[in-house]
Amino acid sequence: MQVDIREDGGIVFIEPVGDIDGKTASEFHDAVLNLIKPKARLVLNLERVAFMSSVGLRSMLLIHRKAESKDAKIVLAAVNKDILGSMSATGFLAFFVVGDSVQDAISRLG
Amino acid sequence: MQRIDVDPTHEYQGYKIRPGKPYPFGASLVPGGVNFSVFSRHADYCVLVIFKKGAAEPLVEIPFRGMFAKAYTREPVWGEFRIGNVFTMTVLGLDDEAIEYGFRMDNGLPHAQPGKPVIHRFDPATVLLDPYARAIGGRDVWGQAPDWNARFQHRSRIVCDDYDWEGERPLEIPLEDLVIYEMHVRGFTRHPSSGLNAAEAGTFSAMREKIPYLKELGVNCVELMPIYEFDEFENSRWDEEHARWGKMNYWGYSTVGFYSLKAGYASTGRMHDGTMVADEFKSVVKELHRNGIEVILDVVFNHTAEGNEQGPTISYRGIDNATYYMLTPEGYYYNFSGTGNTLNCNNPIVRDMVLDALRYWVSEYHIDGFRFDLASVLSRDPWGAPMANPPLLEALAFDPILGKCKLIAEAWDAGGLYQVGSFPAYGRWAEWNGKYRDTLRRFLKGDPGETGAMSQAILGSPQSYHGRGPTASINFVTCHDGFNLADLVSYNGKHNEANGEDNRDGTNDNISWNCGWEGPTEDAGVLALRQRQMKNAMAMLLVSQGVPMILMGDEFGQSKLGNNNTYCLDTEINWLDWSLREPNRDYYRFVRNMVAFRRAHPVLRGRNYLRHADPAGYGYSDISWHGTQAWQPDWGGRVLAFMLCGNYARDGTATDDFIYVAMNMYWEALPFELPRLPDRTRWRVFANTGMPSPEDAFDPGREPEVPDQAGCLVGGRSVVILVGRSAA
Repeated sequence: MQVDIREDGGIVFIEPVGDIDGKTASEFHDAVLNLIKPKARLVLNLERVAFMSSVGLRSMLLIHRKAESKDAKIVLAAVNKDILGSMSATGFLAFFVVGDSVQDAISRLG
Repeated sequence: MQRIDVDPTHEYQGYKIRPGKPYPFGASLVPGGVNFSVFSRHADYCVLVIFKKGAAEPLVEIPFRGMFAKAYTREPVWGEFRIGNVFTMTVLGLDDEAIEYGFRMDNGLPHAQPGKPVIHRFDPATVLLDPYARAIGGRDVWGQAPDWNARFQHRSRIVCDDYDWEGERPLEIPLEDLVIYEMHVRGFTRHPSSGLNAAEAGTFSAMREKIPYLKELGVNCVELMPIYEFDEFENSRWDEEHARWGKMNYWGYSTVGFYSLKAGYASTGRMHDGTMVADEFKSVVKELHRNGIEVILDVVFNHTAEGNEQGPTISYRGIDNATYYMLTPEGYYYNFSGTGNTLNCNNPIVRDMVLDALRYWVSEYHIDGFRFDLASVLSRDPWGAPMANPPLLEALAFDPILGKCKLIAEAWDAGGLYQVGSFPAYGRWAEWNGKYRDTLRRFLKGDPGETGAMSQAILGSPQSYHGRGPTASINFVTCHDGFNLADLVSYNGKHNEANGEDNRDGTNDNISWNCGWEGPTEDAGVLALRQRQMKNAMAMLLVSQGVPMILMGDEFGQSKLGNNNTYCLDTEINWLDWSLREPNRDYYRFVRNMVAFRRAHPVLRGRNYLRHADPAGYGYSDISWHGTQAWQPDWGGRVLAFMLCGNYARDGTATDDFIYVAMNMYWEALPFELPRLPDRTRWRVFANTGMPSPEDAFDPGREPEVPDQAGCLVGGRSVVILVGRSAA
């Protein structure tokens, strides 16, 4: 899966493109895990992710755990309504800070 | 080091497979693939049918026996993937969340004719649901009509059981401390007044949003009406006039799959993702537990959704009819459940299926207990005769994984077996106490001569449950079956016309009284009496030894318009109307304070029976009976009072106040002489249903002193509750 990555002002911006499901989740999660360095600050922009399955939710949780173990901070941005609904209903949302937009996410990084 | 069983041995149409593991049954994620395992004693041929999610035609059909290609070399090779009566194979490299599956089975006999009795019902034209399916597709969004022409309606899905419980585990609250709230998941939040958005209303996640309410009410256990997958369209009927489904299988007492959640109860059902549905419900359980609230499931193991000879073949009867069902020698279905068929629960295979399912719910979903619908069916042998020592009930009672969970029987069935008080208990089982309900209802409506029976009810029914203790008795006045509390005091007879059966359905034995007018009225006197009767019922329920259960909606006094059998109505009548809370705030406050009172007083929650004795010599027996005159109960009338001595709370291991309860079900006020308390201990009034709010129930711990310590006037059809406590 395509995962666009750029760094700006000490923040790593990660932008996956496409669905995160059983076919793509491990590729996505491998790409992101490598970016979680100690005390890293990351924005995971989900603007171009239309769909996330339960496998996708799990890849997100693994990312969260890695960030926690590295004392890194990760904020989600521009999550669509459906994905937000799934994350909320399943309780996965409780693990994350979510910004409405990339700009909002940056401000929530602190 | 990599395992050596992750490589294929065979190939079939490009799918890589290897012999599977027979246990556990169902589809399980294993390294590199999915293990499928299904039992049939009488099938000699089985095919695994795999679909892309939602597709009409299969991706592939892999037989469990036949010619395959040898993996790597592609040489033709004979293969058979079966151990004993279990067909099992592992399919490697499957995208498990993108598929659905089923089985075809056959045994070479002529196929069953619809409507005709027969022992075996194999038909390889039908794709069968896996009896162990952990999730089921096909009814993903509640009320969304399926494609009726599709041949495979209920489609097995695979679930990833790796939920992050964050250390949370079942609560193991002692049974005697529970206050159970019986509720319907959809009905709890479906009403527009719930304040939930339309996409979420009526779902598990909406229920999670309302946990603060449950906490405020004070209950510490929810008993969920069936949440196993069922088909809301079973026996459904479209109502042209109102342009909605006039009749549906709303309650859900008709199981399609025993291992699967009702997908239509999940807000994530629309995602067609079994794991997500499971995650959603687990997140509800986790949050309930975090708030000190247990979860009991109402489970229906007495029959399935496959009906009788006329019914659809979904799973069990196409897999092994003779094993899963009780059959007459001709092949008719025995009907001890009243719904067409009877699950053959004491067949060892079916027994294991039930046991495995419950273990799964406890270990995977952290469920705290189960209420078994028509549990007396589970005590019948394969020919329907009741057994003294039914293997299933014994196995459940002694099972290690179920070792700490609550087991509650609805101790009767539709075949005439009534086992309240005699259900085989093995020191574990509690029962829905139907006798308690009937006694309380008779006493409440003022039948004379019920005081003796009522004293039994107050004690936790020791005559029924001798040797088992009060926790054997789940006490209730109302439950989903029959009138709810508002209707119990508003109707003499049922009014079930909305069910479309000309008022023939539902019980006629309601033991109800309308307080002077049948149904809705503006008469202030009738309305006041009804509200007082509801308070009386709640008061009696919550001061009884045993385990109280409250029905959803009764805390607001919501009516079902006299319908005592609302199983088929997905309408406002069954949805909790949150807007009733405000106009009924006084009554709601009374209920809440009664629950708080019970939870504040361990003397109301004994694990063992009170003995009407004073072994420690306090000068007061643990319980004493009174009438209008102290120490002189009248066993023939409509008046009963009792006093509990707090020194005997929890067999004397806890300290509590004295509690005195006077129940005057006579229609006029009567003076009650109060038992004398020890020096420096004073009677304080906690509740008086004859008084207007807020003096009908004070906040526990803040009760004012009774002016006359020697006596009090108890209004007609009223209950007074006093606490005796040392002056501060």
